[in-house]
Amino acid sequence: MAAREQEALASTPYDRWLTPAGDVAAEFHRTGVSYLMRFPNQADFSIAADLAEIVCLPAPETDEKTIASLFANSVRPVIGNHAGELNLHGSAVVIGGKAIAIMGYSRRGKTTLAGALAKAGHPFLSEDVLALTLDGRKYEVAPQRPVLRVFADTAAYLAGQPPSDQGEKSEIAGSADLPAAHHSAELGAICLLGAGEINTVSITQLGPSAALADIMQHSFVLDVEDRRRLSAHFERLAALANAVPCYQLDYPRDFARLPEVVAAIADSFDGQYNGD
Amino acid sequence: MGNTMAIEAGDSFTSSPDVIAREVGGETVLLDLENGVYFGLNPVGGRIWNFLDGETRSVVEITQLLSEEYEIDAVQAEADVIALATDLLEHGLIKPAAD
Repeated sequence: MAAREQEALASTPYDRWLTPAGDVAAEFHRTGVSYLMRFPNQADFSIAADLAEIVCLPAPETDEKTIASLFANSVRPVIGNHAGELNLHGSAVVIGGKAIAIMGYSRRGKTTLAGALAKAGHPFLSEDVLALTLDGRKYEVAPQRPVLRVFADTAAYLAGQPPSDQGEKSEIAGSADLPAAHHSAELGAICLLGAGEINTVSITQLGPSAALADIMQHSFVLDVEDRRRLSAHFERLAALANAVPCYQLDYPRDFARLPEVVAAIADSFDGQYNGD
Repeated sequence: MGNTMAIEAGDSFTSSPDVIAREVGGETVLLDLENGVYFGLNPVGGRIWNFLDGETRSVVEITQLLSEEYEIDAVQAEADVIALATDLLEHGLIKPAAD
């Protein structure tokens, strides 16, 4: 891993991830027999087509935490899915012994909500990646790094932490006040976050077909032109949507209302799993 | 997308080879691997898709199969088939049969 300036690539990206503002978060290129994931001004990851080797080429200003985060939250899940795993973009907490996944577009508040639920005693499993494994007919959610990467306002809400000087997000480690789960938990439900243009807390069950359309938006795919793998991935997502109840979750994005949101979620899911 | 044509009873179609279909929660969902278009079909729409999946069939044939299977009026069945075929064609999920 040696730092170097990102030079313009001769190839045209075959796929891109965009931020909600329309900026490029990542580009996917083919370079000979390898793939290249470029995170503009942060790092390039060269991935051998057989996944046997991954080389990180960070930009000079990129620190190790950022590289670790890019790898854990973007590169690793993409490679895993290419190899047949099921990784999705989302956070998760444990409520009543079951994992509740929170999925949604960037900046919709996945990590903030996971943190708020943890603060209320529901340990967080993951802040950005849902690593799912199928165990018989049940899906297990594996714990990820026990940290929450959050913007300054969320850091202040969760931990009274001042804004970080390094980058846009700061990291808050799991603690007694903000517990992290250290063991896998069975996936009990998937919550798909709405846009927040609402004044109440709304939790509505979705049919599997509608849920699948939404879940597909939060997937990690290395090669969108590899039809065999894309088809197999779609098959896995369809099986997930058939097996796990999915809900549309929406609420006003207001820190003052978060305790109300947390209570509504806990009532909905803790009650289900504890038979209240 | 963008194929717009007035469909007539004698027109024939087949599913696009780029499209995969799965049954999810009693509905049929289609994914176009070429462009990521996702399309949900109700049970009758799913049955119409099954008639076209890997087969070339005319509106008349599909209408006949559908009206027999669901015991519905042929005129209404043809209208339903044409409406769905128009939608699927516009989204590039089916293709007109080669002459």
